[in-house]
Amino acid sequence: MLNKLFVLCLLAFLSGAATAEPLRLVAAGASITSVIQRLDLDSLLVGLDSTSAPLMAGRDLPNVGYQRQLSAEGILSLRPDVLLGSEEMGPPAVLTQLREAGVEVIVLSAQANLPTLYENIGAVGQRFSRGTQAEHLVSELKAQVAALPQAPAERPHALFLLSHSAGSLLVGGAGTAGDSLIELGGMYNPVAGQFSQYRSLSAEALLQLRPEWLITTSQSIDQAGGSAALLALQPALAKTPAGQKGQLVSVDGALLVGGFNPAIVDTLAQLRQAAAQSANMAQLAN
Amino acid sequence: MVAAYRFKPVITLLLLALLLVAVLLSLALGPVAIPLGDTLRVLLRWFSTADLPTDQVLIIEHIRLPRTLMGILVGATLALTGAAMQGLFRNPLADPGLIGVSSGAALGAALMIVLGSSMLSALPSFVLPYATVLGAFAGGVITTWLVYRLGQSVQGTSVASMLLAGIAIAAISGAVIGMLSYLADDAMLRTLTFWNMGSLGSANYQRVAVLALCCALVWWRLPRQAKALNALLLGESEARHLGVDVERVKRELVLLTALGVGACVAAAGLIGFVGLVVPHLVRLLLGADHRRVLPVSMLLGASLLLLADVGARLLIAPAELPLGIITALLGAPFFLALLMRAQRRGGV
Repeated sequence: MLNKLFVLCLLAFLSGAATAEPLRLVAAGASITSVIQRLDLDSLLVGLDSTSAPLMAGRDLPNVGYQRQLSAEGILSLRPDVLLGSEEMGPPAVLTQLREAGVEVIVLSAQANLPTLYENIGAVGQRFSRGTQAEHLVSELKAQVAALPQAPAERPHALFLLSHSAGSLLVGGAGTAGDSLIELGGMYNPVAGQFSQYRSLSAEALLQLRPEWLITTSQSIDQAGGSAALLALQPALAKTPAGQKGQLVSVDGALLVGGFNPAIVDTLAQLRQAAAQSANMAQLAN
Repeated sequence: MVAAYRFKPVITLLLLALLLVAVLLSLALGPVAIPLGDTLRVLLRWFSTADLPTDQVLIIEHIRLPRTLMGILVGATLALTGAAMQGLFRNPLADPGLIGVSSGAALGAALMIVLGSSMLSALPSFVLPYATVLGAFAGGVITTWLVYRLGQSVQGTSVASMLLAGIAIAAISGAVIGMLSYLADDAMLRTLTFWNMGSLGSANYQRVAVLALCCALVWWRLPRQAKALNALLLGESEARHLGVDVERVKRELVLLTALGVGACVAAAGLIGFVGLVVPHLVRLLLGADHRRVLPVSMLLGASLLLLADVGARLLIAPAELPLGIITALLGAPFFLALLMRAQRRGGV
């Protein structure tokens, strides 16, 4: 009797697995989620990490928490087939547990540059049979990048500012997503040669750098309570050329979590225009 | 209190039952709903489990069971060493953090997280995944040894000097961790913060096995000092007159605490308040006799940590709260209540 039951259950289990049910997908990292959206795969999503949640505000998907501190059983409770995220995902022990439980864990590069973005789009397209759509998206993005205003010969100096917690202000050095943003946006990051990662700078150092532009995230502005309040965090900022002319560019911070996302092109256009504007002003002044 | 003494065996039995309930809850509850009957079948191998979905078996065997075991080991060890430290320092505020273990372990881990990639290329590759763990353990043991040495003088080890040295070492560790977090990049910072809040989420059998080895030594040796701790309650010279080799007892307690807490912090990060609150609670229930306080603290410590971990898993599922936050949230108000109660009675 018990044996028969067992065989029946096994059959039911196998037949359930054989029918082509849509894959169940959990995404971690805002950039990866936006790639999923652009490839029209959002219907597969059954869970998101906390950085992706704002992108899918319309859908009430379960939140699996911060991407670096995932919970194995929490994710398993969503019965996913695939966990798609960037190198920023963790902790490693949890990823191992998920793999052991039969979840396909796909880890994409989180480097903030355009080739990585194209590669990631290709990889997602290939895995979820959206190869042609992915190719289209990549060539579309490449065309948009090619059509961006040229970076001026005399690149204006720019600083990338982050405010994580009230009262603190960090500047992006070499290797940060903010640095790639400045570089690709046709500007020059004067601190890239001085340090990597994010550092807080003294008032004197900021004045000496004479940034023409300040780039920050909308989240930092919200955190500080408005762009004026953000500048007030470091009074020296108001005395820089950027502060005096009010040249502050706000970008969506979600663009920078887990590498670039496809919407980066619009931001780059915004920055290139700003760079060209500075270059023109400089020429007029001469 | 007199009434409490009469019910001692009952209270101990109740706490044993509480631990059993906590273990069951920890095995049966989680973001994935698995019926209690199935959980028991998987664990006890009644009947065949082949008809159960394989992922349920895997969740119980490879996620919940190691997690529960780690919770028992960590909770019991933290409470046991906490009770021993309170006895040794004759100070109800003492906890393993006081002799520098916790801060030293945190420092060791932070060093590995932040400077690890550059320092570790020399190490063999199989050590790398455990670098943080090893760093934490080494940090805990080294700072404790330092505090112990600083407490030594010609008259023997001064508990008061050790206490002050512990506070100073904790401050230095804090400052160095601050320096390191300045050097750290965003990813390292996040790891550092979460690590400082503790979690059982990374439990697996290898970690449980290593932790169990360390804890076994502590569980075996430390309760043997219960009588010596009782004698120490009277004062050091009185204990000496009672025939206790005070220096040896101190050395052994400090070393065992360093070993136990170092291993716990390395396995699960910093989990506060268990070592402080649990021995208090036990003393309130059963009196100050260390022969009871030590083992019963282990029971209660394990139960509380398991229950807190069940909360950590379920409260914001499918995400997870850091365990240290829950123990602090529960522990701190409870501790305040104890303090106020003691004050009303006149004196701590």
